[in-house]
Amino acid sequence: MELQDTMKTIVARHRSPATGNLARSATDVVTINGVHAAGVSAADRAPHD
Amino acid sequence: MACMRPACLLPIGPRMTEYALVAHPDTPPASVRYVNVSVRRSEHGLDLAYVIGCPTDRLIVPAVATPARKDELWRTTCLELFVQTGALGYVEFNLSPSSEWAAYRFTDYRTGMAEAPLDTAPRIMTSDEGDVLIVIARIAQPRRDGATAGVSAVIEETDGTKSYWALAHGDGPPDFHNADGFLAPLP
Repeated sequence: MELQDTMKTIVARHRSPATGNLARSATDVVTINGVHAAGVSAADRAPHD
Repeated sequence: MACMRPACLLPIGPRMTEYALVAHPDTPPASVRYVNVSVRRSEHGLDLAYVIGCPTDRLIVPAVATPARKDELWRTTCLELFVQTGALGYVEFNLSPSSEWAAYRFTDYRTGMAEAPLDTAPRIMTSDEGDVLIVIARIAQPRRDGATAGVSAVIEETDGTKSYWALAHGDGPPDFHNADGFLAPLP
């Protein structure tokens, strides 16, 4: 995939309501330090996280 | 050196993982809401995408320049990657939104610093999306089984605030060279 295509994919992910929310809830997880936030299930997390 | 737990790992697909970086508690951001980084291996090497959640008019974004190696990029907004290359050695990449870059190798923690020779220069592309700044970088980093990396960012804002983001932070001031923070398994 060319770099321009990668950028288009990332921008589309950001603009998508589903994945855009996922990105923001990732930050929520950080702020509460380990307590799963809405949109981030245990299954989504790496085993050592 | 004690290290906090990893920020967050969100496997997006079989070959890409997204990390939510954490701001160092001593250097909180003013307007930056989040810094997320996705890491993917492509046929060209490593593709990294840094997504900085912030009104971009509040960010200091270095003007686009000719892609070239340049020192001291970390003095303003700069995206970084630290790749473990041995038991103690590592390579530091500085990736500027300007498309300038730097690569240094170390034999141990902040020891033996030298320019890292690269066959292929990193390629960097920046997109101002208004509410986010997206910086993607392609690094011709060979696969090394079991290697881990530290992913980090220095973000400078127009009010002078400078925040330091990483997968995790140890005690004391921000220190991206702390190998305890090399928590991302490289794809």
